Amino acid sequence: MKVFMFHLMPYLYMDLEYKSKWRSPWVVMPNSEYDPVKGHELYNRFLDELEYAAELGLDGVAVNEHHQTAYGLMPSPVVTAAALSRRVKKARIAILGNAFGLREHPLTLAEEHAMIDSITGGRLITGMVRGIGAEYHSMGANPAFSHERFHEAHDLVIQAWTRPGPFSFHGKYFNLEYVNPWPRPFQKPHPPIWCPSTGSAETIEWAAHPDRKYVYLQNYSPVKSVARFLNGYREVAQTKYGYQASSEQIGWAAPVYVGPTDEQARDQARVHIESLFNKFLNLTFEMMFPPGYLSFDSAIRMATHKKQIMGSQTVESLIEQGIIICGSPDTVRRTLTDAHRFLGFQSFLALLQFGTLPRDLTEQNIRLFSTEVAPALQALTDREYMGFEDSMKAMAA
Amino acid sequence: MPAEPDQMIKVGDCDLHVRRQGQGAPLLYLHGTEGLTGIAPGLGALAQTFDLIVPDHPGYGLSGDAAAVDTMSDLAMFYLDVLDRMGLQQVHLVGHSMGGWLALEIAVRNSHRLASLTLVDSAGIHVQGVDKGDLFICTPEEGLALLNHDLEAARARLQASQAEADPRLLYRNRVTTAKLCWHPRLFNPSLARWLHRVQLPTMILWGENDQVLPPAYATALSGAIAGSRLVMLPECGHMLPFEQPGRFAQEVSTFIRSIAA
Repeated sequence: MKVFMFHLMPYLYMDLEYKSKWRSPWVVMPNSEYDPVKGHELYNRFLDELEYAAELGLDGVAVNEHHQTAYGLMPSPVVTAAALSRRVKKARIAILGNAFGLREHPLTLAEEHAMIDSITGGRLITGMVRGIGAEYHSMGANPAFSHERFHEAHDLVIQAWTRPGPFSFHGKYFNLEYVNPWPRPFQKPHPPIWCPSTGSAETIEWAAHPDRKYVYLQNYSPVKSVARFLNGYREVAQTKYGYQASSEQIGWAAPVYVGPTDEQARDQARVHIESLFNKFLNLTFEMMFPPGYLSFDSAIRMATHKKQIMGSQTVESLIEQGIIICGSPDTVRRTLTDAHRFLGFQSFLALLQFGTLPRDLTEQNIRLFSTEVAPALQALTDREYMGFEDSMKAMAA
Repeated sequence: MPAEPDQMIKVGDCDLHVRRQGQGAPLLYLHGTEGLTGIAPGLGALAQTFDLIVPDHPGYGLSGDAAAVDTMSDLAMFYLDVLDRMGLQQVHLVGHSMGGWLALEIAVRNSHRLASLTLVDSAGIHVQGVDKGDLFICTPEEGLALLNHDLEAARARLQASQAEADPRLLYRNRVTTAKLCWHPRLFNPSLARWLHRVQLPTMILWGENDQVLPPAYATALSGAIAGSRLVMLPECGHMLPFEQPGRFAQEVSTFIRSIAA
């Protein structure tokens, strides 16, 4: 298994009592709440944290994109990845993801990803996402055309990376007379493509398609949902597309906190993990699901799913549902090894800094996870996986 | 010719649902962002004087989709087809909100089948420095307050009419509104450059308390359309045809009579 550290880079000085003033840290919280001096400190601290995880032997570090929110300070993950690209010497750098369809001109992202891939000698992983609903408010992008535009941006980028240029591209959204990017990506045919999602059927079907076979990464979900969606990917590959998906094609991302003992881990993580789920992740229905972003059925289903995740969580309820993994090195190792035996995922992303988690606890978490937990996970292969049929039986039981 | 009250008209690939009642000069009512699903607009009174034609736009209500319609410009071309298809002449066009924008897009393109224009709390342009209300980010309850001057009355109206509306239809209405209006929000940047082409008798009818498109939008439109008449209704928000149906019908009738005279 490949093990990554994921960072959201939250503005953790956010006023946690914002609810009397603003409905959400997304879209509407005024940026006068952001202090550039503190921002300077945070960016450098967070980059240090990712570099530290890479030094301790994790397989990769991962960053993502969100706009106009205290939840995460990475409107351009390309900038974050570029800042990491010369300091992280061996580990992979994963942009999970970039919202290609939100851009007026996705070719600029194709160029930038090719640059990072070249600088790192082929260590980039490209995540392709539509962006969450709030992004459509922040960026003025039309949610009703989100799927179409994303798919067309994807096609343009893949062609730009693989077809000899110059060639012209004519779509509904993007029209270019010359597609001929310099540089081309270092990796052949292009960087691996991952699709992080919280479980949209459309994304799973799209990622699993035999033309793509992209890695599907399940985010922020009770472990039961993780099982449903990861097995859902394998099932779609088998029944809809007639091939057996490899375990390399699926991954799981979850917040992880490792402390000296189970009790200490819970106590140390408590207020910080609760701040993530109850404060930073607080979005209204209208922000999450602008019209057309999802089909009616998906919107209703996802709203139910989100309700399970956001709101009045405690560290205990998060552990209980398997949304986070928290405990002593033994507990965390056992939990993840068990999950792997059941689901077989070959990528795991640990969110090792979350909410208001301060520097010292984050460093302890990175150290304990990277040295006490990750090596056991990195040794896991398909031999330890129970297999798809047994997994489906276990899930049904 | 007396018409059937509810009919489906095939226009291109779209089954257009049209409510039609009354006799007289044809009056085509173009609905706004909220659609007409489950809300009875105060239009009945107009059917006493006019051949009242009220379609659900493609993608709304009981109408099908039109593959060619992605933008308001497309929708304007689609309605030019509708006018041809129905063989209508001397049509009085009445557009509310997004429907007013649509009426303007139609009129600047081709007005040979049109007799007059009534723009009710109409979208279509942007006035620098005057923010519009955001109908997409607010909760349904906040939306109601944004759209209506008298919140209690609006609540009662919706309770009476929308209780049985299919939530799937309401969602589809909203998706189509997003398609047409999300960005740029409720306007077409090039439309204002062509408003001199509107040479029809025009009335601009507005709710003085409109928070979606504040009265500055009414003033700007009336300045851009030569000879237009501006009527501002007190104690009224964006949903004028629903909030003050009697007054709405009366203003429209009076205006159209004044043209004939």
